[in-house]
Amino acid sequence: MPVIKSDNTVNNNLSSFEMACRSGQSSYDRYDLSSYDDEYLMPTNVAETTPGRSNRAEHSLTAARLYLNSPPELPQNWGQINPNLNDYHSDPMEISSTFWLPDITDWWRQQEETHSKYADRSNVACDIFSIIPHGVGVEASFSVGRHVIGWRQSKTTDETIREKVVVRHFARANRGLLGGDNPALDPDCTDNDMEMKREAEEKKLHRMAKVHDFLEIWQGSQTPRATQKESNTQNRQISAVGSISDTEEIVNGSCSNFHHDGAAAFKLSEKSPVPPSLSARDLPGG
Amino acid sequence: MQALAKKKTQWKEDLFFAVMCARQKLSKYYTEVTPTTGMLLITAHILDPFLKLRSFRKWDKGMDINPEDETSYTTQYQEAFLKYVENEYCAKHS
Repeated sequence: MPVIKSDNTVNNNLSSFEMACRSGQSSYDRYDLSSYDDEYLMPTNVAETTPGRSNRAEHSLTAARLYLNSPPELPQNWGQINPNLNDYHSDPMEISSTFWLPDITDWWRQQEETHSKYADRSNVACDIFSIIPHGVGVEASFSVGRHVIGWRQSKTTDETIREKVVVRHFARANRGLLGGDNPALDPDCTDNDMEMKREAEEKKLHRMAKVHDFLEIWQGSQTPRATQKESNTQNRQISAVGSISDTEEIVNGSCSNFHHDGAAAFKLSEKSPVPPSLSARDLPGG
Repeated sequence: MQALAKKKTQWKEDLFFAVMCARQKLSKYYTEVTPTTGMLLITAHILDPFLKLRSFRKWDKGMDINPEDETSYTTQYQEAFLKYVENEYCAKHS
């Protein structure tokens, strides 16, 4: 950061530039290749173009200092015509320098066109004065309070609002470095957005809760069914003595015991087709 | 303002009181302008070729501060403007 300690330092810095101006170059022309920078633009010295550029930057800064240390312009000396003077219907009291402000942008445009010593600073003026005071971005800064405070917040103190605004602007100026993964510090995420997100999450959770209840009911219904299945299996083991549903017994049962002819059927009493486990002595009460 | 302060008519006294209140309120806001928060205001003010640093010198004079001091508005804003120009415009050429 350049520190201006005294006027002598500034004058020493300005002296080289002023001498350059007096020695034939009336104004600093950044498009003028005939200056001493052209030796760096020769093909043999291509690698030395950087010093020329740094000199140009130094000249630009020197011109800014020269602008600051020179006395302000007098509106009377400037060639802009007071528009009120041509208006014969206007109030004579208003035709005075008090109520007439010279056009600053026109002055800077003239400096650039005439390639004066302040021509380099005209781009700064162009950037700054092109900001429209009643533009959308500027107007939006007045309603920053609504962006910070949600509709449901009513007890936030002014200090808290100020801190929140400062933190948001700081994060925005540092390209959201403070934001990280925390949405509360995200400069682009307002409280209203967060509130809407919260409501959406609540709705989602509510829906999930419904699904969860359904799953619980379904699992509750599945549990007795599983218990019933287990009991059925146990029953099958128990009923292995001769249940109809016992497929093993059916498979294991030999068909050779059955005879399809009637004569053999009458001889079943001698050789029972029932499995041996169901013999009379094993049956209850047998 | 000096001429208005001498007036004795009622509506002129009221007007003077209103203007003084407005100036007091604006002064309160402008004293909180720093190179960090109000760089746009400072730059726009300095780029006015018919004012430059004149207004800041008036502020210093109103608060009995020497404009050449390091803590004065004039010096601080002048350095802030030069730093802004150096960073935003001169750095592109280097």
